[in-house]
Amino acid sequence: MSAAEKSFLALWLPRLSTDRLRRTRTDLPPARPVAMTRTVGTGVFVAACDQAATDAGVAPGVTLASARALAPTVTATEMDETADAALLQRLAGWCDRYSPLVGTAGGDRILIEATGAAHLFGGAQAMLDDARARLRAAGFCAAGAYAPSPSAAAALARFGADGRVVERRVDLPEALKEAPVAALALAEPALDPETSVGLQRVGLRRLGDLYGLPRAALSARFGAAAASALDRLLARTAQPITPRRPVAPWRVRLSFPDPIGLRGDIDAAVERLVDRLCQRLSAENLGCRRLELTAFRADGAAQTVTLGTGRPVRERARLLRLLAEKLDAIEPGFGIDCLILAAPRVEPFESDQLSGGLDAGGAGGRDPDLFAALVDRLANRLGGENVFRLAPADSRLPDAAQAKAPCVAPRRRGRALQEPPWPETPSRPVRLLAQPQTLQPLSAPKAGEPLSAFRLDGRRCAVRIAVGPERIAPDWWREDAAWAAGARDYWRVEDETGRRYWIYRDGVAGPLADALGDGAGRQHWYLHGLFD
Amino acid sequence: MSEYRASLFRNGTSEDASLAASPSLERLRVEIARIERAGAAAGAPAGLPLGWETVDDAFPDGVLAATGVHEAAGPAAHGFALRILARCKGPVMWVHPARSRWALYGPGLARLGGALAGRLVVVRARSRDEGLWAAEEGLRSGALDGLALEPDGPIDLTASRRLQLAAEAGGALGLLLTGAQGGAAGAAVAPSAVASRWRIEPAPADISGPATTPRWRATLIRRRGGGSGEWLVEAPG
Repeated sequence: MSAAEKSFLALWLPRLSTDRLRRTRTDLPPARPVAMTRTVGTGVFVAACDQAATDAGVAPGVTLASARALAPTVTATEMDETADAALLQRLAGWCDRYSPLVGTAGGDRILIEATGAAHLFGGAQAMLDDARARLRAAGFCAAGAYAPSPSAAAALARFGADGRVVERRVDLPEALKEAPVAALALAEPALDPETSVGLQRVGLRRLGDLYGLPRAALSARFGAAAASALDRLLARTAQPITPRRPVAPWRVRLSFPDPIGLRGDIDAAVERLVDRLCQRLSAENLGCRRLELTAFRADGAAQTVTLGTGRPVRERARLLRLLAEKLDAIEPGFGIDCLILAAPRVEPFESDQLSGGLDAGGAGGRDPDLFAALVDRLANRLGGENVFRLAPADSRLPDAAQAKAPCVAPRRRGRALQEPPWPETPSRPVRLLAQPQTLQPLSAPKAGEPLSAFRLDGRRCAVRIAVGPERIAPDWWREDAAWAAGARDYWRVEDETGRRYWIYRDGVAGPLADALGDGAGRQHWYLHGLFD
Repeated sequence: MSEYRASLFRNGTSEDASLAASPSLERLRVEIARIERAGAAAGAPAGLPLGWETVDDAFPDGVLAATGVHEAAGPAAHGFALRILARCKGPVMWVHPARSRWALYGPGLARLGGALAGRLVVVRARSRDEGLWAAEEGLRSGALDGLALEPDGPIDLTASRRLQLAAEAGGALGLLLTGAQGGAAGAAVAPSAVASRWRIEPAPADISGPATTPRWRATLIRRRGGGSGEWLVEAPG
């Protein structure tokens, strides 16, 4: 089985945890040795160390006491794998600038699928050198290589061929000849660690030593994993990388020879990106529903702003207007050297968009496109959960009888879905309290009779008109804390000033009422809504 | 303290003469006159009738300027605003503070007619400024027929003028709800640039007929273009 000719860029960050510490602790002098420790039982061991500590003879695995003996000035800090992993993910995010397909491996490697991307950077060597130089400038100890398989690139970077570019598969065996057999583990994470020890015990120290062996013998002696790992390393079988996130097929990028920082420059760049994206979307008759703009800063940070739209959009002016409000969130810092605009969610653009949804229900001569644009702007600034329409929900309980619905109605096969009508009910208030408010009853009516007076917010209200009761019982099979007291008798009452209230008495039926003897003596009254 | 105030006041009156002649004040007067004209004469689009005969008969051209902001105060101001939005034809919006304990209730809105519940967009603003921004955007967008704002705090002259200009630009009707107390007749009222100012209070229902008719007492305190009055009107049931 042969794999199509692909290419990958691997970056190895051997001192990620100490580099991370140095980035946060700028007070550490560069010559001061740094070690990360891990406590196992009562012993404190060095888990990782920087170049200065290595030079002093410290190596991972020694106790902290021996490390202090070797390098008395060593700064030791407890290992923080979570922070290291988060940093690696951030760096991988920053590598999106090179390709949309970026993955991480082993806690210290970033793998980038560079197929078809190298020409954007002036060739494979230039791309590789760019990545290494940028990481080093940002304070990371980094090695990198470029090869037709991700594990081969990682092996080259890891085992002394930093900066090496192997473009053709046929050149791989020669390039990897001198790599130790431990490199097999890079291709097959499930490989038994004993395998490389076993290989070395029989005198097979280099990958080159394995080339001549019959595949069957290798599998029989060291397991099928060893043979398949070698195949992957030499790109005989395809080895895809697991991307950090789904790749947006619709993306455009713009990189700047000199980092930009002025708002005017950023605006102009975003305009060019939007132009290009809109052209591509128009060509395919698509509109975007989500848009992501990522700014890659010269200092290795990447910032992303996201926006969503209610309908597929591909009008340049509208996207620019939505983006303009989000651009404030981008901190240029020392300058932005690359911008990528991606549309992770696209949908067919419908030219009959002008009908359907709310805009069909009651456009009344207004431009529905303006309406969709307004809703998008509000939702992007205030949050989608704060801009909504009210739609009927399937419940008899007053507080659950309405639900939030999107402002622009969903569509199926280009036609707006018909919304169910509001159910016919007795009179309902126009405003409802999220939490019913306790009323102080000033009379003690019998069950089924209304209050004659109550006190609300310190004001005495004499009931002039009362309509009811309307008994609403919870579904007995549902547990709902608000309805724990059982059925409610709702009343529509008007006080002597003409204010109209929707009030209820709870515990009028159900287990609680039964326990209290029909709840006759229980006077729990609440205000739930207002009619004006 | 009182002495200090008194001296301030004296200073104020003594400067009145020079202020009257100052060119900046003159410019402001011209500006105000221009705005007033834009609203009253040039902004001739027919006003919106309220559907209450007694009120509409007094204002044959429609009592509410269809492009402009109207202020409503009083305990029944919400119901009044919802009734007006129900009478608008196209999409309408309601902006209210996210921290408010009251929420609009769809089953009740559905009974106001005009398919209000289906074309009403609810916007929850997390601050006074967010609410003002959303209201201004909505009024200016040209996408809405009506918009009601429950502001999260007092609205000053600048803010109400901005809303008024936005409503004129977008051809929308705005409603500014100034709470149960704001805009009370005779009370010290913050100046504002609105097209009309109302106070809506509940009134005891009419129980003389076969069915009870809920009522409001609607007071038109001020109206650009003239007019004021007080009416007992039928409230939506």
